[in-house]
Amino acid sequence: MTKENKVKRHLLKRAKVNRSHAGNFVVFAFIFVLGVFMAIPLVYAISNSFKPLDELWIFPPPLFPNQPTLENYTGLFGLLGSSWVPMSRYLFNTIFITVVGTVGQVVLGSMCAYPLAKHDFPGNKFIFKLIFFSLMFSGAVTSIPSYLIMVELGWVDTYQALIVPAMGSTMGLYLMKQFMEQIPNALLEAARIDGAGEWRIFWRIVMPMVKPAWLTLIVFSVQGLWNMGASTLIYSEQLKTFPYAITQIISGGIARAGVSTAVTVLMMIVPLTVFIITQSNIIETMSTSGVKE
Amino acid sequence: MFNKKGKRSISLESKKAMSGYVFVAPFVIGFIFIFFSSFIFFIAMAFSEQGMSNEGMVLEFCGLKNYEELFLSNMEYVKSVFASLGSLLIRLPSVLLFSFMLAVVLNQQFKGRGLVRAVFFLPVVVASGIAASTGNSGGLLDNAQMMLQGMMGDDTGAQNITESIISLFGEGSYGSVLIEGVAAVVAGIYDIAQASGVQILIFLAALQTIPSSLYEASYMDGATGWENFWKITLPMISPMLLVNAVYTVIDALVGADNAVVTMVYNMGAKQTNYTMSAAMGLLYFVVVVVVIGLLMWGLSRLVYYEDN
Repeated sequence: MTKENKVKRHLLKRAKVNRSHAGNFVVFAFIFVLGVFMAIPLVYAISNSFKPLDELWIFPPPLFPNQPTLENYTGLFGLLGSSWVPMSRYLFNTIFITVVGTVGQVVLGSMCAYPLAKHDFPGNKFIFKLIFFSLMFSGAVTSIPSYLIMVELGWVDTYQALIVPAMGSTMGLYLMKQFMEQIPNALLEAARIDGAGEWRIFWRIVMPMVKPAWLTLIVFSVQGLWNMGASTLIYSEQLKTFPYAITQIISGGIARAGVSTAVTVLMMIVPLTVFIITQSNIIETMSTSGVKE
Repeated sequence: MFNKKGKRSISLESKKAMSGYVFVAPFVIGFIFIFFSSFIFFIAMAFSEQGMSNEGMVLEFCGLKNYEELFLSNMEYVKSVFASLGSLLIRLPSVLLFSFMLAVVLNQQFKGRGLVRAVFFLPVVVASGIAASTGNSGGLLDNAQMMLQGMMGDDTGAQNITESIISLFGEGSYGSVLIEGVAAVVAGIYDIAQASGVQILIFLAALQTIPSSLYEASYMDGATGWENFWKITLPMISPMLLVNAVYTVIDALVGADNAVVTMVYNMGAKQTNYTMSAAMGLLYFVVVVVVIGLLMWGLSRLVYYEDN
């Protein structure tokens, strides 16, 4: 952080002093109570995963296990090792889909959003409206026609059947477009006058400026793709995803109840980790600080 | 400053347009192939009857027959459409207000900020497993779902959590009475908070793109925090207010856990009445378009764009 930024931060802090401490206290107390309630499912899931099987059926469920045990986790890894298709294959499928889908969604969505927000070309408004309309469609509602389209394209039972539709996230595009509208035209003009091409402007000016937007988009995308389970579009066992495999393993009912508690925790860890990493990278981008008018 | 339709030579203008198309092309081509073609097919299905042949399913155009049947024999459909719209009326303002307030608070500097943010994003992480239970994207984990649903899905779930806290204090003690009182209040907010995870993040990202120079200038001019909020924060964040409003409506109306969506999906996937499912889906789509249209019309005049 530069010295100038530090001074700005300092000024900002001073500007906020005129808020009363009592008000602050009430707000944070409220946030704290609510936060505790929000955190309970995770705490509960974690504590459940350390309970022996018999303790899972105590009602009302105790918050902490009486006799903590790791048998749920060891049981899970035992099961993972004994499947027909190696578990690493399922895991690879899910990681591959998540990474490619997320990168594609962010890059394609941003690329499309940039001219829609900042260029004026014939058909601009129409294209945006068309894309915007697709937002109002639920994937569940169009699942049958889209299956038939996948058949037409010959994509059934391939990775792209899962990845390509994920790349075309309209919500992501809309989010990026709204953020890009905020970038001052003067900055883009300056870059053009200095001889930068559109491609360069996009990667060197636009994308860094909307960093909070695409970091947020990454969180949403990973969250969605990581949890993608059994799909009607995939029937080869070696192409199926990790959540699907795990669903199969733990659908053994009561006998697998212990394992399923461990699985719940493991499945939540990845989106949460991505969330924490991206959020800690979001800092103020000061989108207009480069402009002196 | 040059404006969009400024005095420029035509060649440069068309050159700019070209680069616009190049950037848009990958997304739009994919969009046309994947979404638009299935959408056209979907419309065709809504006005057809399905039949069998040697080549598989065939569609025969039958006009509005599906809709006649829908309105005359399917009472549940209209009822759940109106129920969805009704619950949206409460959900939309409360979610927007809540997520905005929370984002403003979470944007401040305090210790453990990252942790608190993660906590408020938790419902999104947890709920995706539950959402999967409706079947469109497959189950996260069947058993985990049951457990999580029991814990946080419905009202009974909220009680469950309360009970587990009460059991810490012991039944009938002052602690448990207090907790029950708090829980009743929180249960309402809790539902809203659960639906606000994404919106909070979007607002947070928006708050972080507000240049601090604006606040510095207003500080120099002696503005109060209250004035800053109305004159700087709110206008600067207004485009994202629109995004969040749209997202909230979409999430509520066309999310996989919506009653109408479930009904449409089951009609197609479980009862294999594809054309009826398409007819129901298409009508619902029109309803959603009208709702979003009204929303955009109402909110767009409040939105401030820096350069326009």
